[in-house]
Amino acid sequence: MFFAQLSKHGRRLAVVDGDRRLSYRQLSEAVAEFQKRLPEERSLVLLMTRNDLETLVAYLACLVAGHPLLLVDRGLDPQLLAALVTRYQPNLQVQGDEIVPLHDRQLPLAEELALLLSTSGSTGSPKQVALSAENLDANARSILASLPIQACDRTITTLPFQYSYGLSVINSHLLAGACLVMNEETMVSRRFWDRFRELDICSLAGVPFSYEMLLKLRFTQMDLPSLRYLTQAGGRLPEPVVRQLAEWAAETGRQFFVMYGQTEATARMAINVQPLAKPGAIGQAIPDGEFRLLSSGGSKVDAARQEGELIYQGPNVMLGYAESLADLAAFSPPSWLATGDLAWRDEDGDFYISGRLKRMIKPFGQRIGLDDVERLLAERGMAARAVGIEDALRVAFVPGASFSVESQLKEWLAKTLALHPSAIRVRAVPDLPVRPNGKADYPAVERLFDE
Amino acid sequence: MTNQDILVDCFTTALAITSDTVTEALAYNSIPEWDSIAHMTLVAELESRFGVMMDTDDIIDMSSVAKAKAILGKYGVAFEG
Repeated sequence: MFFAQLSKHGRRLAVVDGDRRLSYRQLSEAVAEFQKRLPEERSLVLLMTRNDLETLVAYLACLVAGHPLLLVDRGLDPQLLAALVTRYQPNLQVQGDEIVPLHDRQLPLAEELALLLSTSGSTGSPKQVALSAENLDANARSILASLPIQACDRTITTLPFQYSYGLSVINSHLLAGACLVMNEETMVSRRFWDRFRELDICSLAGVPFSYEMLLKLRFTQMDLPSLRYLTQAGGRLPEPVVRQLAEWAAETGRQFFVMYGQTEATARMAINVQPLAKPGAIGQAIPDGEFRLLSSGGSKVDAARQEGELIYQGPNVMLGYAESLADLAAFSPPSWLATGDLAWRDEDGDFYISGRLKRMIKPFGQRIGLDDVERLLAERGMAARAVGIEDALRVAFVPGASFSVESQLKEWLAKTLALHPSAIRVRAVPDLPVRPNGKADYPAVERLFDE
Repeated sequence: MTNQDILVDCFTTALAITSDTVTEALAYNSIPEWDSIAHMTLVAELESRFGVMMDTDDIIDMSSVAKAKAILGKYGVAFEG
């Protein structure tokens, strides 16, 4: 396991956070020290994350000690956090260097459970993806085998710690014995780029929005001699943007990798190593993983260029979902993970995503479950339907006690979901569209937003 | 509309805030509404309304309303007073 062998990288630089620099040996010692402060009994730990040394040490200490972790971003809305605590009843809450005991009742926690990651972070969705230490380790190994991560490398955190893609960058670098620069600055800040140059950062990881932001910053004109490669995951990057970045990489002797993943597969499932030739592809499964396509009838699609639902098998497939504490007692992992994406394969065996079956959107790379949005509103006594149009959130609602006008609901959604208002439109309606069988009529909801 | 009015308009649109919040001292990351996403929306808004194209350094240095005015000044956008 990557987290159990930190000291084997010895004096190599492991983490930089501000002025603090820890070698792998020092990191391993800090982890052991933190571990001593944790209870003997196996406990569920709520870890309030940020990209800093304290979060990293607490995360590793819990993994080493076998305490399952529930990771929650430190910026989560307090009400949503309180609801999560009620639902999962963690024994401890860890924030920074502080450990707050909440209760010492023994919880029913499956032996293999190591980590809970939210499926839809900012909605405070109760639904969590349960992962084992083997899941984390296997995915870190596959990623390390797919990317040119070298032990002398340094990367800088650009994604939230508790986001599966961000966490996988951390895990794979620790496995390689490479260096992590813990950073909370965004890529539009002067300090981020000063740090980047000062510390000779070798790689960057980004979601589609990050790359749109980087291009807007005229990133390809910037003088970044230490930069060797870029990875992109967390949603579909438009083909012209992929092509632009792939061309820049080819011209400047760098590499650009388009990856495909989801939290249910720990983080990453596929890599496209030739984005210049195939800018629309997600490529092929990472080592130890395998894709298949299923027809709507459930049979295997073997022919090239035929659409089916993409399913995935590999050691990184989650233990299962959890919706409350009771679900943490036992898991029966799916043998194949249904990705919820529609895809087809070309003659070379490279896969292309062609559509989505799941009700979710990814505005600015932030995954938001549409059913979670409806749940949040239902909890406030509001009848509402949420749909996604080109990764923007559209909500039709019947004005009620909590929200009587459109602007009020829009403002609340932006604040609660921490989503920029430009990605939200709301419409007040007298009645929500329903189909003859009484179920929600989502195509009709979408039509409410035409023009 | 004066350039000042247009500037305030850009901020209220991009950051989804009210015009009285747009003071000279308003700074990046000082309010939740001015995050990195809003910042890029703001840059796009300023560029299209004032017909300018900013450099990387200007985008990452534009850390307050006052700074935005100084930077726009370099591109020939004048503000009275």
